Amino acid sequence: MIAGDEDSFTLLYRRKHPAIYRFALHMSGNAAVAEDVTQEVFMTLIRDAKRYDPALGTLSGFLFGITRNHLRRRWDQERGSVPLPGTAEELDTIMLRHAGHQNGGSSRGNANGNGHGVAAFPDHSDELVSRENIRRVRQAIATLPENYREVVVLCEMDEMSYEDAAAVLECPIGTVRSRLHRAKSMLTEKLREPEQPARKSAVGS
Amino acid sequence: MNKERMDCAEFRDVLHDLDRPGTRGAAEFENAITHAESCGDCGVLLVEEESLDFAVGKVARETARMPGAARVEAALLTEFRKAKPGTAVMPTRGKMRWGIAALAVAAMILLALGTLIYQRNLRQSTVTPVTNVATNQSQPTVNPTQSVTQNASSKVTTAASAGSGSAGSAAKPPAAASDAQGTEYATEYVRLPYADDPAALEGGSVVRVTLARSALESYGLPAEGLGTGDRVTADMLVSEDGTPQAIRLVAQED
Repeated sequence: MIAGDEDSFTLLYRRKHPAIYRFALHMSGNAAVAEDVTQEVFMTLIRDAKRYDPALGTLSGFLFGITRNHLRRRWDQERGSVPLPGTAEELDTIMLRHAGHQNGGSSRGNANGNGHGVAAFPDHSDELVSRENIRRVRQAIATLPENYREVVVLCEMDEMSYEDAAAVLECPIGTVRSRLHRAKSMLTEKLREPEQPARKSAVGS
Repeated sequence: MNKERMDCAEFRDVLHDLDRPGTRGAAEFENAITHAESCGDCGVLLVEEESLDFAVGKVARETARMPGAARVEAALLTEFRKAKPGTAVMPTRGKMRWGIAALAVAAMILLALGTLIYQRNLRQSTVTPVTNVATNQSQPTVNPTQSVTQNASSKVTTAASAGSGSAGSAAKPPAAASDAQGTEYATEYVRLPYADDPAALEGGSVVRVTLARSALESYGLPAEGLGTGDRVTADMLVSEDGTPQAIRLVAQED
């Protein structure tokens, strides 16, 4: 790509942009902002490709680092719009747009099926998790504090290792692990609660 | 830790890492499942964890599709083509260097052209053939020997232009010059038979000499009609290396 191979760049973009967009979307809560940031990230890569040093980390980590910088710059410029009030609705729209998309299963082994599942976590062995439950999970993620949300996106959604996530977030591995555990506990707590009818999300609180 | 019997605290500690390769949770996976099967509360936690992971995975897949992916790709490719190494914009310092080099080349070309034109003009103004020699019979007397050094090329040009139209005229001097001692008449310069290329006169000088009549003959010039004196005055064009290139006869009126 550095040598100017257009096909290589196209391939790289097609492989990497979904994760970058998703990260930007969950962190900004705004599809237009996420798209702009994704474009800016790859523009930065085109202009400063030589800044990437494989010895210092993965290319994904490098791109996520750029994404974070762009997002923070935007937040600094538009401080008044954080937290983003439309996050839940924006993500709802996105989720509905992709409704019907074939989903996959958990990589984990079978649940024990002992009948102790709570209402927010119905057994999904016979049927995939309902759209309503997914919407609740998405809303719960959107209401997480920023530093918890980003570890969920990186480690859970992008399946990034603790080491790589620590490199992106510029913090110790133990911090990433503890934040993720805390974030998942918070999500579980949120999902145990009965849904509030007119609840608004508060991204970045 | 006893691998056969995991307690609830240990289970909760590894719960979030059970499906994460390279972690303690993955290594303790079987023990954790065994514990969850025997502990109702931990079993609920495990179901909740699995449900959460599944839902998060679904959210991840559904939010990875960028609506404007194709448009962004097109914009990026346009930018990529602009930034290709071969077409990259040259830094300002590099541009300046190239500009200076171009100016230097242009100056050299102009200098070469100027030299060519100058040399061509010089050739056109060379001395006339020997047949155009004019003599002054009225001045057989010999002036005191006097050397005059001038710019040779300008002298030749002056003599040539002043002498045009007077070739073949034996009675009237074709060129005239004045000095402190009176009016001076001179013939056109006559190129000597063995003279080098006129361009060799560049940087040469004019030397006034007094020659014996016989010396004129040695230069291949006709000595007839120059009066009866034994010696004649002449201006000799000498090249830088001291070789006589052309000669003209000079007569002076007091």
